[in-house]
Amino acid sequence: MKCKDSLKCMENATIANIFAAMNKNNYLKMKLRSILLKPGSILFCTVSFFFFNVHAQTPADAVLMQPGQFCGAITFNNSSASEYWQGDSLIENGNVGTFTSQTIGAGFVLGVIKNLNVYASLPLIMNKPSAGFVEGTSGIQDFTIAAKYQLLDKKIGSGNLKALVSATGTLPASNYIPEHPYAIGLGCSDGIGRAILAYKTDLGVFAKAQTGYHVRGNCELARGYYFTDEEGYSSNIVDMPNAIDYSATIGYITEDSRTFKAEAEFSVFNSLGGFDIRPWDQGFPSNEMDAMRIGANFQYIPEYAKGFGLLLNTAYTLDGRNVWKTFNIGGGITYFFNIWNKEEAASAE
Amino acid sequence: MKKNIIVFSLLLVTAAITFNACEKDIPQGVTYTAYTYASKDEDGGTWDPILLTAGSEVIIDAPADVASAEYLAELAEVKDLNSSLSDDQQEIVDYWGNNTLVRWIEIAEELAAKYNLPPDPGPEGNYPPPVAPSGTTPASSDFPFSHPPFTCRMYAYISAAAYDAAISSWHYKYTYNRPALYKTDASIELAYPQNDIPSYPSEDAAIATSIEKMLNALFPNDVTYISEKAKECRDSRMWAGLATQSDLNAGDSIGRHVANVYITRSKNDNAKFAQTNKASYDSLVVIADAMWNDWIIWKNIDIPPRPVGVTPKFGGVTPWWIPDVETVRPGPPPAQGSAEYIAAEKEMLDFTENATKEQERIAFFWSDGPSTYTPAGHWNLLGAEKIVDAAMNPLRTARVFAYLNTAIHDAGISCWDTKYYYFYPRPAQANPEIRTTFMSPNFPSYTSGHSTFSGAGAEVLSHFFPGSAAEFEDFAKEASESRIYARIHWRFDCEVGLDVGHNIGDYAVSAAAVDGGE
Repeated sequence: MKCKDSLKCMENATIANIFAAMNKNNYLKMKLRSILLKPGSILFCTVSFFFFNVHAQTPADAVLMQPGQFCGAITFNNSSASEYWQGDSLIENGNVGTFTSQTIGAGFVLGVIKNLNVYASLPLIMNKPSAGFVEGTSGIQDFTIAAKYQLLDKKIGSGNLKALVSATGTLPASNYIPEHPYAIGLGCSDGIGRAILAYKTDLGVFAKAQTGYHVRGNCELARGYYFTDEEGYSSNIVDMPNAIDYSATIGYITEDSRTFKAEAEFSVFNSLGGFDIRPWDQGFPSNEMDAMRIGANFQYIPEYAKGFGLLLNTAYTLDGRNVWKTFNIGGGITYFFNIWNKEEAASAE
Repeated sequence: MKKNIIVFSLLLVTAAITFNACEKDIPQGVTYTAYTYASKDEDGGTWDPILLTAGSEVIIDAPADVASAEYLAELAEVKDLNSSLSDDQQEIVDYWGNNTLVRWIEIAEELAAKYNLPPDPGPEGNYPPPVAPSGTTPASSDFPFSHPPFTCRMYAYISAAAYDAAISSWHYKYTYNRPALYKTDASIELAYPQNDIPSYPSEDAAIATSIEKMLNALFPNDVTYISEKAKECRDSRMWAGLATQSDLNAGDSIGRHVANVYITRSKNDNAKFAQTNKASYDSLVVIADAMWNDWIIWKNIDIPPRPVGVTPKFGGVTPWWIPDVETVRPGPPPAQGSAEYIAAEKEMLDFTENATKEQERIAFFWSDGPSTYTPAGHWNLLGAEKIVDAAMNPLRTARVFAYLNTAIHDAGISCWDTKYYYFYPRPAQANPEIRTTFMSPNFPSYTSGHSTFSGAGAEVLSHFFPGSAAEFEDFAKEASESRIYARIHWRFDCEVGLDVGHNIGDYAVSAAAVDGGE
């Protein structure tokens, strides 16, 4: 069943999801009486949103690169929290203090043919608590690839309506331990199908709504027995709940779609299943993780910078379940150039 | 169109990379299909029980003759049930299989995991009192706290009771020799392979009832669940064509008798004194502080700190095999500042900086901490796999679990005696530069519980499965070293604990060697 669903949803997904998926899902978990964050995701997702904005964007946005255009990015994100939701109770944990997750991400987006972009990214994550005696952890998290396709770009009134779909796949890229109290990831694959609808006026004001469906593979623990809810399993394999996310964004982008962009975003991530962290227990990969966040993203590509651009983003978790109440801030540098179709690209602009 | 095909293909490739396999059912216990027993053990009723005086201690009347109208009516009832099983009933028959004790151990492991949750400090930072004020019933969510001492004792009681129930069943099986149902009526569709063992009394009913009563006493907030499971187990014997109502009733009588004997012992084994209150604990700390000048004595390093350690007087619980804890208590750990201590401390700091991924994996593999079945449960799982591989009958199965778990229990009381005798600090307490992979448990460091439990477990399982002795030794060593990799134990905690565990396991093995079942 699940496999079938996943394929179905993958038909729609794009690369942008890479980021979005990583971020939102995971990312906060608690473990071992402390919480565990799979923080990378949270952070990263925010980052990711802006990551590719300038030229091509993320699997979750409505911007496309032209064939032959390439945009690479290096991003940094810092996410921290001193409280988490244990079930729906917001608590502090003295054994963790303030949890900090830092991410360095590298990725690119490429215009392949008209209306189709592909993406790839890989984050390095460093997690650590400010209190207690449990070590932090770090490492390469999950590799993401994605593809985004524009189905529709239609002039309506004094603006354009765009519809896009994207498919994203992520896989753990190192053998990190998903049940570490401060694990860097959920240790599972994630496939995301996403649909995006955006309207941009000729003046550059835009609104966007998008939603993604996550089909997650199994998580593999180091240990061979675990207890969830009311049931014990004599296995290292954990069935992960699927998830959905959705967001609404409003913003402004300069007319050439690349010089400057600012947007505000409201986003929600919901696990479709899973269980609550038990009192003072550590988190578990298949906990029900929900988060509602607000954020803002900016990107700027100065005329004089010869293809270089800047990203800045921030986000705050308003409400959640079995995740950290994070504040994150991130930024990045992008570099844009044409690999092929140089003349065509130039004339298109 | 061509473009669409390209796009579609790309998306499919993406999908395929992400999902390389469909999910399968995740096992919740040992996977086995019902089997032909490797032996029948016709003399099993003469073996020495653990607590009963003999298999004949319970009085079970002779069954009705197989030609009697009464028995034929019972058979008809079984045939009726057996020939019209619902899907749910068939699933239950398959689940319990023809070695029900394996499932009971798993149910006990699951209960252990469920209740293995250290108390939560709550928003005010006040942990609940470690001992419920007399006359009150602790809330279900946190009672009982199924920590390693509680849990090793729990496994010992249920598996020793099951063994006595099985011996008693075997005694009457081969006294009365009521044939297996399929031999009397060939039209009964036995759900499992034929094992030509007399059906009266049902050993599965005897085991189910003895464990049901014992678990109900130990997990009073889950009696409904436990009793439902026991009823399901007994009923499934009729559905499977394995037992008639009178076979079950006789087994149930044995189970009740055995449970009474065990519950009586459990009320008088001093376990009720194992968890002290704060005042009593503080006086132990004062004594330890005065007694040991060579080290800073242990204290809990959680934030906020837990006021009382886990079961300081578990060492006073009545053992099954060892004469007393003093006899097996190891000598003192090294003084802080001694060469051995400095080497151990350096090792902790080295692992803090440079533990390999594989070492960390081993630490987590054997972590067996909160929300798990504890180290004792880990050894039961290892034992269960070998038991079904060896196609053991229920009596032999019970014998392995009984000696395994009573030995692990004695390892537990010895280790806890040692812990609260020496009050030795955890590495991260002694040197805050040391970082751990998970939190240091709430009891003193020397000796390692994992190591002691595992030494005893390996010793006993190696006796019953000599062909796998090297494997068990490796597991025990790895379980022991996992605590060093996790930096929650000093090397000497682990090495000494492992040796003491082996020694204690040997007491149980010596008893097994003369119980008649060799």
